[in-house]
Amino acid sequence: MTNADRSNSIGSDSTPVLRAVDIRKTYRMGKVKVPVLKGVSLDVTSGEWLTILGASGSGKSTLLHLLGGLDKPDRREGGCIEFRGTSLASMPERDRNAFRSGSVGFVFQFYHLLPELSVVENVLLASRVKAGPISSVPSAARDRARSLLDRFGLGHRLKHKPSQLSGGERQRVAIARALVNEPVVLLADEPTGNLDQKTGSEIIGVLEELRASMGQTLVMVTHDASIAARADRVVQLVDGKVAERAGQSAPNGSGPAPTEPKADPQQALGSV
Amino acid sequence: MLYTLRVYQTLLTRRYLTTKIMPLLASLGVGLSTAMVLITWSVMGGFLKTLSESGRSLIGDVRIAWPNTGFPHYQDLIDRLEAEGDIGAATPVIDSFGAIRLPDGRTEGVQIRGIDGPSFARVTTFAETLWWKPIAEPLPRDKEKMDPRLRARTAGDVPPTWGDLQRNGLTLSRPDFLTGEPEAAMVLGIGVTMFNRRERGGYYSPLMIPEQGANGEVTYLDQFLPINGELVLRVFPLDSQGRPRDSVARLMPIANEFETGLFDIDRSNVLVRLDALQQMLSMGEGTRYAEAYDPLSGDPPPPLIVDPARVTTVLVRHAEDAGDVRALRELCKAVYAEFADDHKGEVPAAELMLIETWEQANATMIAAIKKETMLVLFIFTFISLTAVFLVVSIFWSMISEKTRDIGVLRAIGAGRSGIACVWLAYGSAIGAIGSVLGGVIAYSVVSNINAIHDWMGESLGLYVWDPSVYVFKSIPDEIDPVHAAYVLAGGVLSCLIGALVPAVRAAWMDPVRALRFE
Repeated sequence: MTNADRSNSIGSDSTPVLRAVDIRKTYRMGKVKVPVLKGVSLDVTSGEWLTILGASGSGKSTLLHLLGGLDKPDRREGGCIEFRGTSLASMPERDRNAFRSGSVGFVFQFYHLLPELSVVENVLLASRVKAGPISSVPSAARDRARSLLDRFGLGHRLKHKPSQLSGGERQRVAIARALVNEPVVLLADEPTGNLDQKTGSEIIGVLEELRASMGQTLVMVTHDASIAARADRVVQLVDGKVAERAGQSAPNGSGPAPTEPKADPQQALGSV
Repeated sequence: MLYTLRVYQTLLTRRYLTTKIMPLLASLGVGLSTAMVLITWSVMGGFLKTLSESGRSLIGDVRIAWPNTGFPHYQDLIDRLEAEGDIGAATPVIDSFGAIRLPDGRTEGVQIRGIDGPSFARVTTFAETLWWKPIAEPLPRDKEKMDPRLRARTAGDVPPTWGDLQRNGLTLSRPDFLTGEPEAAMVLGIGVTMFNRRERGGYYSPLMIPEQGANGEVTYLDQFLPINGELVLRVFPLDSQGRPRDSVARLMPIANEFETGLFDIDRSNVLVRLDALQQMLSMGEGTRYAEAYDPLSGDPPPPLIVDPARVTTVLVRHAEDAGDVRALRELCKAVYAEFADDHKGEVPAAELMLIETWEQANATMIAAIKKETMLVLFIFTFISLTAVFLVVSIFWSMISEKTRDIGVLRAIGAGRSGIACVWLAYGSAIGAIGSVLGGVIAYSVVSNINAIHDWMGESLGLYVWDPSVYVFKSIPDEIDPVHAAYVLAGGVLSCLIGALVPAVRAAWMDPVRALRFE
């Protein structure tokens, strides 16, 4: 890693749960190569809420997918992503699947609930994927699913189909699905992007409440600076690189996360 | 390694099956394909089975033959054969050819078979093939009970009755009108004279018999051949060297008619009492001088030699119906070899004798059956391919629809093989449901195929299977369980194969692209 690359690395001094080192990702559009990430490095420490801010097309969702092991950096000099010191690239396919199943939880902008399954089945789907052959879903997972849905105000809608829910309710179901396996890191990709402001604020409230009560590590991608301002730490991606370092409260994984907007997001991000 | 379905795969398979119309349509498509194959195979299989059994009906299991000139001491051979525990019965036969002259002036070339009725009935299904006999129940398709055999033959049941005709047929004899003494008679294939009309009900109606007078005028005789019909039978004897001699003709009464169900046999075969045919063909027992002798020479006559009666063929039946005919043939060969040793110089050597199973004797027909079976299998394969493509196209479009689900599943930790298995399990489930559905449809259709056909005929005037044209009384209506198992398994396999390519496509789908799919 070069010094210049080092300068793009943002993180705390504590041991990171996720570490991205000089990540490069290039997509091919026909014969044209489009570099999306051009050497991004960052650390995610336990218990922190890190927001990745960026305009559309800046590569923030790509970075999230890479952090979650859903995608791989460029084969040549694409950098390295580590989970608790272990490179994802060195993991066999089965271990990467297990990593996605047990160590991270994804929340998507468009919820991505399976329309054929009920609310509780959607939540338990992650537990079912994690469960071994034949074995049924552990009762602890069932209890956790119900507990999460109760907590999100959906305890009375367990049997409902996603089509019977509002956008905010669907996103809460999606968050419950992401949390049911008790992941180390929650990766949220524009979780409010498809919601109105009020509902989006409710969802952020849910996430903040999770942080407060569970110390859940959260990496969120957004283009909304007002949401970003509520995070412990914000990194901004511009043209495939981390443009600025902008920190708020130092994450330690034990303290409660701020539940109120900390400041004017523009101010928090400096000149962003 | 055996892959075991995980709980999420079974859940998704179940939900995809029950919440979408497309898999139900796919199952229906597979079911109809499966039913079509099974119905076709059952009907064709029944058709082929009936043909095979008909081919065996007048041959028995094994035949020992020395065509044309025949061989003597056949009764000794039969005694030796019947002494073997594995042999149920044996009977002498003469196979020859000749012609019959019909009342309307036609002369028909026929295959002539001289038989001893009672023993022939023990070796073959001759007794069952006799047509004019009393029957208690109408044929399955004879709904209106129009079969003349169901009624007394004449008003007041004046003899001969159907039972008399049956006895006449079995003994190949008919009482002389004047003396009442039985005289040798013929049993004709039911289609030989063309004086019987096959009705839709599968039975035969005797027609008025046209007779052409000397002036060329045609009159119709109210005759029924088994009662008062006589035909001229002409045969062409061969001498001991196989050279033709002068033809011999004889007016011979008709005792009965037979139906094997095999058109060629029923159209061209005539059965004649063995002793009568031996006499006509000069194959009966006779005496001759040991050397040329002129009675006018005054010399003492040379010693007389008895020429034993000859037959061309001995037919053999296995002691058990399910016996291996090839083993029986080997046994017959061994018995004949011993017999030939004891009659060296009088009978053909064992190496030259034609000893073959009924399958070998009907090799041409069997080959045709096999060709037909191949055709059925080809159709089966082709239809299965249709089902495969049906599943491929449905799955392809379903996977496109479910692209995001695949992305989500990958995001929450499902592996490529797990994704593939969702679709393979889904394909298998569609195949299993479709196959079971097809099996039920096929069973329902085949079991009631004759009733359905009758309904189609009565309601729509559509008679696809006309027993007056085809050789069978009714459409085969049984499903072979082994065939059914093959077809149902084929249905599942077809769907599995059909799901394979889409499953691989799903498994190798880039999860990120899948999540972004719109």
